[in-house]
Amino acid sequence: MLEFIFEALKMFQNPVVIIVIIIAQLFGVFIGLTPGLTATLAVALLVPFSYFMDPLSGIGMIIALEAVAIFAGDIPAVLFRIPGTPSSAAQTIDAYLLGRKKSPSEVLYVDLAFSTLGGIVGSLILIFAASLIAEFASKFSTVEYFWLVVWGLSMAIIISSEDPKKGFIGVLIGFLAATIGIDYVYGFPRFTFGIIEVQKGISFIPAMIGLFAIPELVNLSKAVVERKYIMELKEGIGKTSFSLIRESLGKYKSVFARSSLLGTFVGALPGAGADIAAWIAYGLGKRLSKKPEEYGKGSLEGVVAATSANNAGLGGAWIPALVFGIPGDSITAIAIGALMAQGLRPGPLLFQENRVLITALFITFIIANIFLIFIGYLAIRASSKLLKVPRNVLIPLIFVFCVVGAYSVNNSLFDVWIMFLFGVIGVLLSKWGVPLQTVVLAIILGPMIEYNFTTSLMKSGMNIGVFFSRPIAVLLSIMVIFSWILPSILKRMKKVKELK
Amino acid sequence: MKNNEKKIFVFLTVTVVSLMLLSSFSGCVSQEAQPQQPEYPTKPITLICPWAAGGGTDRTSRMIATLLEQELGVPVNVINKVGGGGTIGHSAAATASPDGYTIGVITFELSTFKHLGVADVSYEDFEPICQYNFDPAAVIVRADAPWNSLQELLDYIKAHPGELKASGTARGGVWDLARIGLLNAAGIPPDALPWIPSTGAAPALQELIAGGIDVTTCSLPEAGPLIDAGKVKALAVMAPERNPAYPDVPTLREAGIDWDGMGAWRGLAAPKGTPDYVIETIASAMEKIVQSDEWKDFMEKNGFGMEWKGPEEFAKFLENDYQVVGELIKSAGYA
Repeated sequence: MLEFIFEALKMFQNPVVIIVIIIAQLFGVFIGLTPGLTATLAVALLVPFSYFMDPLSGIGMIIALEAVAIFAGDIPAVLFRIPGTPSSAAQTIDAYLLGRKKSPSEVLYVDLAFSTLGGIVGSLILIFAASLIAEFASKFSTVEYFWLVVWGLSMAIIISSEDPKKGFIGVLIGFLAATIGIDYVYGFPRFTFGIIEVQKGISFIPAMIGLFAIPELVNLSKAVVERKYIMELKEGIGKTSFSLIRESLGKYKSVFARSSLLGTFVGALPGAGADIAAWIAYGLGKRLSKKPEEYGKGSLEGVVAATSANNAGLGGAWIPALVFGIPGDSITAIAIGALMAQGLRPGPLLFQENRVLITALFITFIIANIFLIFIGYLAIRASSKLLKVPRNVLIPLIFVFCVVGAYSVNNSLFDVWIMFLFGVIGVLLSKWGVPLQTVVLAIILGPMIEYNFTTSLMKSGMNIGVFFSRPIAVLLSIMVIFSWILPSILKRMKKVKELK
Repeated sequence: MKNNEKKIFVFLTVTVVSLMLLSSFSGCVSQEAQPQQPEYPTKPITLICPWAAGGGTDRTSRMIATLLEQELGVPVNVINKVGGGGTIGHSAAATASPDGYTIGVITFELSTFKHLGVADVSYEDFEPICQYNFDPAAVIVRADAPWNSLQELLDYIKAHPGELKASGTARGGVWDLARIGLLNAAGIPPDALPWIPSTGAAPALQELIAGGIDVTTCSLPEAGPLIDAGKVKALAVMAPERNPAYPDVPTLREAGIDWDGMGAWRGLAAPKGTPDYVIETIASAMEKIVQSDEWKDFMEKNGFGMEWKGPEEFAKFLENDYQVVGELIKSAGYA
């Protein structure tokens, strides 16, 4: 084992590897910062370059980029309430409100610390337990996924616990949007009115940008009308203060441990990526929190939970990809192609025949997360300056980025209109107090719940018992139902105690 | 003197006029010899890929773009027009301006759209340029499944219709039609092995090893890592010849089925009405590319099957594929 590590470390003597990692991470900052440009898209654009590199640089580039992009996605979330990538959607509102209460850069430093730590946990689990977890994940069929998605969706209930009715409305709006387009199961066009562009359905990212960004831009514009051009923030914008990190590292140890483990495992399940990992960790964080009332209003704990989970999920997604050639998320789906182009076929043989290279790639995961600290720090320092830009200049700039971002997802002008439509919906919903996260969550999970429900029934000949027919499914269903009724039991118990 | 001047004047006039005539005539001649052969290409070419960035089709598109750039000397940009099961990108390529500066990657799904009624676009909306890839379907089952040959599996399906389930792609997708073709050839009704739609080969393989379904009809390279891992086994490849990377997997005919099989193909095509010189230029550039070591190496490493058909051959192939696919879709009751 030690000799492999030694041999692998030798591969990093090649300065090209380190240079490629740093360039990829700088590119990752740009991708993460720009709404609409996702880590997946960035990796897809980089892969053709990897054909002409050595395997370690080519694959290391992907690993380095995704770690930074997922973190950098939190930066516009904190600054402008716009998630830079879908993986930041869960914590966007908390991170933003917290940034307004404290200082944005302080929140981002905490975010960076937990992103890095989460990334390292995910990497370590990938390195030491890949085959074990892949074996377990390979037991998940549509039935298990159904329960997992239901569990994810019940996070919407938790998010909107103050006013469940409004959360329910949000979920229904999200579901309705998710049904538009060709359905996954029967290939039947729904609500398309014969327009070919509508067949692909509501693209999630333009909808998300519209929902989060447009209402915020409207708010910002109101301030401009009132001639408040410069944002008033309590503390210095670029002030470097690490006291919050020290405090939160001590306070949220268990939140972090739970979220990063959960994130890694959810990431390792094919089809559920870092975004869903963040949602589940956030929801679970609220459920188990001592101060659940802070969630949705600027809870640091919520930010820690989600951001640890999404970065941990990245390492997790490589587990089934490397062990079975089944991608854990959309990034590793592309990474498999890059591996194959290097003549590295994923599967158990990869671990036996290329042990040195695999060890070197594992080391890259750790290096990428360590570099993230520096690159992330620079990104925070640089982007915090954006807040000093007068609002009347900033708003049009953000607006242009939103339009370009929405367009670039599918190179489709139709998606820009989707963004505007959801912008209007977002403005109305925030006026009525409907939590926007529930809409976003339902748009992500709607197609998954439908697909897993319908195909499970198809397999069983329309027998509903199929959902309780497999051991892991039964376990998951008990967990889901238990998580629904647990709070009311606890409440009852409290009351009984009080009576005594 | 006056006379002389006149002579010179006439001489000059005649010379000038005849020179003008000649030059204009020669202009005519040169135009007639090459009537519509402007210089091509003179500006960047857009290559529309109907599938998502990072997928198999996209990877081949980007490799083609890089190599075409070297051959043609102008930038070739890949644009992913994604969604609707490939309808968006195929329609975008078909309706683009036929000036030779927008071409499309077309894939097997083009043969299905009209039959399935999802989009009004077919091979007839394109000028075929070339086919560069073919990946035949295969029959994949779990490694611990009791069947060790295709015949055993088919016998079981015949004896227990509807009990086993298959998956691999969307309903009416390429691996679904391969299943229908196989069952037709074996004289078994399609609903004896029902199809569970999936979003692709990877989720179907996950479903297979998780025990949710029993058969997958995706290509051999897609199942490669799981074959290595000892999780699944291949009973047959639906092609006239064995795959050299999987020499132990018999063809359909070797397994006793009277059918050549089918699979997914990829090619290039231009919008209908694109001039011939464009088709010829790109086709001859592609012919050079597919013979290059760079291309061969790329295709081999990625596990993509290499296949070459020029414009005319590809046109015939597309027409035939469209009909075969139509019949399979009809026999499955999808149309």
